[in-house]
Amino acid sequence: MIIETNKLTKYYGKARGVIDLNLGVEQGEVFGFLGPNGAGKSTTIRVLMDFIRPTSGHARVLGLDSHRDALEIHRRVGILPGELALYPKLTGRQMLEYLGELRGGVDWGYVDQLAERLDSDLSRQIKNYSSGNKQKIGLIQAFMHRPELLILDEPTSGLDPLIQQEFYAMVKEAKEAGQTIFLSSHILPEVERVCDRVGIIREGRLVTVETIPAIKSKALRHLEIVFDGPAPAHEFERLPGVRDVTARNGHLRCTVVGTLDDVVKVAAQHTVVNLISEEPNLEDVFLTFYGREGNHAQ
Amino acid sequence: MRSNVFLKTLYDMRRALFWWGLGLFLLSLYYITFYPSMQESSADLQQMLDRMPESIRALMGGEVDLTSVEGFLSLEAFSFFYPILLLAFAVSYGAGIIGSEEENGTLDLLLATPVPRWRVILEKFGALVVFTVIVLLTIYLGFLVGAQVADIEDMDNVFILEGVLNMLPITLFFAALALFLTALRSGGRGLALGVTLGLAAISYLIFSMAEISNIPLWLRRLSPWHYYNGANLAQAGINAGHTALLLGLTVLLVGGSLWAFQRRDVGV
Repeated sequence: MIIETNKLTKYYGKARGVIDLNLGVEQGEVFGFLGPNGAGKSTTIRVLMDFIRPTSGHARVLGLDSHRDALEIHRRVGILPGELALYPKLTGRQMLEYLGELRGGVDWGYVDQLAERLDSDLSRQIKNYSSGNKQKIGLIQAFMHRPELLILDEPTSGLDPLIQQEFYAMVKEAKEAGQTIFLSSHILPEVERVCDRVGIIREGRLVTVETIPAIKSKALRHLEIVFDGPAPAHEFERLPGVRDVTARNGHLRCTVVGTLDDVVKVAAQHTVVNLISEEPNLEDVFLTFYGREGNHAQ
Repeated sequence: MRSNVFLKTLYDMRRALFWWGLGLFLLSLYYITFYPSMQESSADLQQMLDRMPESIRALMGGEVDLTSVEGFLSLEAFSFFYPILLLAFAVSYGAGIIGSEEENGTLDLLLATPVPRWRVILEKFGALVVFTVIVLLTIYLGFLVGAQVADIEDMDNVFILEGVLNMLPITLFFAALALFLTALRSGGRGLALGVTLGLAAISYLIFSMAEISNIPLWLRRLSPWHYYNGANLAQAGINAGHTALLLGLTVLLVGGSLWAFQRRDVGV
């Protein structure tokens, strides 16, 4: 196990951080830590880095105790903090030089390569950077010493789409190079895209750990089909996994659990003008795993 | 240039160091040029001082000798005016050693490197010591140059250097106190700054009012200024025991900061 938490609990005074968190991240996987803002993702990460100490339970990173062996962990881990703050008066390069020196030196050929991939201008002062440009420095400093484990808290926040693609490629390469990646996010498609497994956290508690295919098969998807004529609602109502069918004129809306295959095959027997499938959002995923609470909402 | 926390901290201080150094150099140069005009009337002044009630003389630091440049600087510069200027930056830097980076959020990245927390504090405090010593030396230089400018011939340069360096322990003590308060809990920079400056002021009052208001000795001994006593320097010289005590307390406070900071949550 690269990351292992055992009944990890953290309270800030009376405020909840995380409760009884049991997490296991395997060597060489990309693990997504998914949850809405304030769910406890950053709390977990900050315990792993020994910035804060558990109220009870404990955490192990790379087989080492998160508190007792913190320095050895810091040596072998690269972290992108959730609320990234850099020294505004330094240039990007000076910032990276400083952090690199504190790590005993890094391979500058590799740093320049990372900067080029992320299209990061290291020569300007950080106070003149956009949030996206700051995020790039945060990513470079996490990757630059080729750590065994990368802990990335909301890594794509502020990045424009092209740079996000490049980041996904970097994650893939890191995985191929044998590095383990622990990535927190509140965006399901992002996690689906790069992760092997995902742990879902909500209100401080780990709800479930699933593989991506399992999540997808359970995820609710909102679908809208526009027909060239009246919508044949009754044909869809009896399909397994299809719910909440409503039809008005040629527009048919429904919610589908799992694959769209059956729905598409039925629809294909008619003339389809348009088909809109929304990516399942986090709330929909929670509805799947918390049907009970979903019913409350209704 | 910025290959460790110590050098990075000094690098960040470079502008402040330049302006504090230049400012205090010029102030000291200007300050000492007042001495000759003071000396002309020093006989009268001294008579007046000698006629004053003992309690007023005590407030001015005990036996006062305005007939020498050493006595003049002890009374006018070392008693509290210069220490207060030094405390202004030293306490604010002391409170910022942990407090600034914690407030700005940069502490996470710094502590994510394999540099132990205790070393971060020690290196930053070391930078503050270097900063303070350099500022003290510019003060000394200001007095030396000023003495040349004002044709003061009988100045004891070694005494002046001692008097200037004598301000180091009390300055570091209050800086370490501010550091210690920020090491205890998160986000307390402003509070630590205020509490430390408040304590410095109150303890100075206790010390300076002691002679005339029957403040008990045990209370006087609680005041750090009791062990500094810059106004009395020309008469009494540096008290090695008192200096060692202030430095010892500084070491204790820094040590306590390392201990407390190691144990607490960061940035909560």
